[in-house]
Amino acid sequence: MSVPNQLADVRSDQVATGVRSVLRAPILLFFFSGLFWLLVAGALWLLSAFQAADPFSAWAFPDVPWLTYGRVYPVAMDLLVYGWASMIGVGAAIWILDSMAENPFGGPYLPLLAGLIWNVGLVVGVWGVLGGGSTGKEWLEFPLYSAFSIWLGEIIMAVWAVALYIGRRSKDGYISQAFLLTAFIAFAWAYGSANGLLQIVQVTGPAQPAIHWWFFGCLVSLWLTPLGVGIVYHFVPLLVGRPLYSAKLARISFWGILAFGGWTGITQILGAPVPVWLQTSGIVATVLLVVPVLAFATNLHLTMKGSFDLIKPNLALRFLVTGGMLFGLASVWDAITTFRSINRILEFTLAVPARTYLTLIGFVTLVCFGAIYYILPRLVGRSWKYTKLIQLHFWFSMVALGLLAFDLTIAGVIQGFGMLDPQVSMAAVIDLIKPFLQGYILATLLIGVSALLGAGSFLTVFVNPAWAPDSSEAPEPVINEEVSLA
Amino acid sequence: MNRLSKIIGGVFILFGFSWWGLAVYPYLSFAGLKANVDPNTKAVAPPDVPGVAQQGYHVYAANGCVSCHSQFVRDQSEGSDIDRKWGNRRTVARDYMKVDDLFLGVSRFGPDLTNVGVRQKDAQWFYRYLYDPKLFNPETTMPRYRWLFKEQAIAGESARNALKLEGADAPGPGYEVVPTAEAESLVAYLLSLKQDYPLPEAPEAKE
Repeated sequence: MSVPNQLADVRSDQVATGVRSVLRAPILLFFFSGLFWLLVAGALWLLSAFQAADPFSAWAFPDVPWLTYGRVYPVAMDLLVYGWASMIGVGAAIWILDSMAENPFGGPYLPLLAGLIWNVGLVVGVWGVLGGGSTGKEWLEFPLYSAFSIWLGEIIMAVWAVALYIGRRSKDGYISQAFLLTAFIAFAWAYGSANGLLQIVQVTGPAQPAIHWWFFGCLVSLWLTPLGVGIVYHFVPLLVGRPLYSAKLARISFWGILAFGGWTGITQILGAPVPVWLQTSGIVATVLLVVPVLAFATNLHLTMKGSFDLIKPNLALRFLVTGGMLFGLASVWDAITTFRSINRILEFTLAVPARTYLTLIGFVTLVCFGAIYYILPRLVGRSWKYTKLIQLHFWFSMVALGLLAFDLTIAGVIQGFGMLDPQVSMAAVIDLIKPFLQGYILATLLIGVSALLGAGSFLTVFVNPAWAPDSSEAPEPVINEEVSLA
Repeated sequence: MNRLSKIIGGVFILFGFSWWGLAVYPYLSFAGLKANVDPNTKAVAPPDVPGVAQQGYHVYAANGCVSCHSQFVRDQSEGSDIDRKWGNRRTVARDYMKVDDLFLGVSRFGPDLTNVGVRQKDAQWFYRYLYDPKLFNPETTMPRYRWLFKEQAIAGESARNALKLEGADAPGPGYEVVPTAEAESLVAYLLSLKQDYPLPEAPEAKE
């Protein structure tokens, strides 16, 4: 089968078969918002890296309370998750769920409303945390008024998605729908439950760590992961013009992630006063999670097999496949470092955020950009004008991620062995890793540049009035072949 | 086709299991913890957290102290926390039973603070550290928190808790630097961080 080898290969009439034009506005709202928050997050992250290396330089704003490291860094991370990754994921989910449902009734108003409420939540959240209203719980820093807005936006999207699914005309189910619906339901539950228990009910101190880090596992493994995996499962077969290689592997990846994902977060605080059986369950789940993730990566590889040449010209595919493969790597790395013998060295060190960044900047961010590069030209009926810019974006992303992960992991190993030796004072340990903080600054700078390149590429579509050239002989499929859960 | 009931049922059963294990079970099982009363001395462990220290929770949270400081001591088999003198026994659940807002932390860019109130008992030390960490370690990566302090003209006698500052940090003649209410509650909170009472489930580690 001939496969379109250009990024944009559709005309506006095909847009209608991909997604209904009424949904153009909400998808664009989520995409624009997500990119905006990515840029804000990148700027704040860069600032926090300067502050980590030298909190007293004029660059670090040492006497501005709302720009102190302890407020800036959490906001950058929260925006990466709740602003950038979540909003792009939701935008892509609108596209995917609608194109699979063939339901003419799913209107644009609920997603638009959700997008607006979500943005309001983020704005007041940034305001609140920088202004000194942080809850002090990692990944849950947003105060109640902000968290509630984000949660409400997410609930509206969940209701919209489920309603669309119930009213669907096309009864062919595909695995991406299952992943996306699961993400919407699980995140509404996890975010509502964690904020409700920690901020409203205010559970007793000893119960807080388990709930808090249960939520982190859900955030990564049952929100960002199913969004990303659903996107990859959906677009890669369409882009290579072949059905997904194995429905069985797809089912294994779905049920496995659903079963093990929620237990993984507790491994972040091994050794804490949390019942040991819960900690051990977390370790076991993190190791078992490798099975569904490798089932996904294998499926991706076998679907791509014989078509890997396509990732050269087809940049959307390149982002999606690289992101998917990095997810496999990140999961294996998570499993290796969770064993108690390794964790006792790396716990509390810079290797822990490095591990999170591998998922967040590697897997999730690349897949989000892959989704943008697939959807946007089809959404607005224009082609990418400057593909060189997108290539540059890809290579900047890879270099930035590589530097970030290696630099912080090596620093973390040094820090870990240093802390293990009680003869080495804490100040001496930090002195040892100071050179790596310069590499960290450079890495966050490169991430900022790649975010700018991505946002710039995004905008070039709107300045290019040309329709995409019709380079494909056969029209590209817009619907995936059925993959059922049974 | 994929039935919606299968997806929702799957979420509720498989995901719900983790919710039960990591959210509901700890919530229910830790709610009934009782303090330990020494049969001889009638000493209650852990002791109550003073009210002013409880007001310090939000200052600790607001300034993101948890980004760099953890608050739990692991068992000797899990790391060198005890060898580093960050505590003479591991932290157990009961240590936190009177803490309303817990900041465990997952990063040690600075030392663990579980027992910082044992290591330092002088509020003045904390004030000066927060005002200018470089006084204690010229190479430190800890930021200064000067917005927790205010400079004021000395009215008659200098204030009881005025900071003893020298050199470049010293305020002009006739002026003094005093902690704000926020700094006072934060330092009260830090001073309250001590697990120096015995609990039967966590015997002191042997040298």
